[in-house]
Amino acid sequence: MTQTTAIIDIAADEWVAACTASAARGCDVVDWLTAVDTLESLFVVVHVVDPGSSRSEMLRCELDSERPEIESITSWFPGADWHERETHEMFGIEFLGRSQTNALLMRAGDASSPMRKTAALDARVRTPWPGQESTTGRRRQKLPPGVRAEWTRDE
Amino acid sequence: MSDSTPQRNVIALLPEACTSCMVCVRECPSWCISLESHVEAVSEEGARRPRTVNVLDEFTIDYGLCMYCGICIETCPFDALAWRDSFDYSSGDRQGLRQDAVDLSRWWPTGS
Ligand code: SF4
Ligand code: SF4
Repeated sequence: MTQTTAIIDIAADEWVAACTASAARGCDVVDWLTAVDTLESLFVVVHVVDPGSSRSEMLRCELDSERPEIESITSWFPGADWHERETHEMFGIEFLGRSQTNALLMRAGDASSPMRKTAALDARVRTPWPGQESTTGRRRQKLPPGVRAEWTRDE
Repeated sequence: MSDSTPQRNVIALLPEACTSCMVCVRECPSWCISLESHVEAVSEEGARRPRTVNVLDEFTIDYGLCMYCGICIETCPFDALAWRDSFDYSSGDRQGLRQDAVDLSRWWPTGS
């Protein structure tokens, strides 16, 4: 059974107000929060649910992709804490007003934001691609899919 | 979904069906499939020139890297890969999670 939830676009300065308004309508549990990088735009997205009725709302906010920051919602939704930490680590988004945003997976001080489309994935560049070999001898692909030419230029 | 639909537990290989086309190897997002093959000439009666065929030498899936997305199975043009229900293949070391063509083909008869 597929249930579609409409996406509601929110301005950055109304983020907290929009999330608390969803909570007031019953959707007071954060199911997940993440970011979406389309290369042209960077969004933060949160899916909030009403556990009683399984009704849900999806809120989205476009951020400045050069200096992405947004108010943290953890004071109202404690369940957003882990998601904000992960989104901070993977997309480099600053969540303002949080007590701490310590790293989950990456080494301390590594601010490379690996889930941003602009981040060069070093391991992908350095690992030999198993698909490099060609059984036909022709049409050998030079770069594996997902590895951009500009990542390899200064090798 | 019927009860007999295999779950995403293990990938079985039917080496006779595999043409070493490399489609699965290239499409795998985790880069965990590796394949080696060579070309052999097959002469057929009545044919003017021998036909060249790819012969599979080695096919390995590293289950330490596989994320069970099923893309290899979906993309194989020759139905040489399929899900099977078995999951009893844990290993105490990293190498033990690499299954070669012999290991992978053993799963084939175990399911639907
Ligand atoms: S299931 Fe996905 S990750 Fe695993 S071998 Fe197939 S394509 Fe690769
Ligand atoms: S896609 Fe299928 S036929 Fe092609 S190499 Fe992979 S298993 Fe073999």
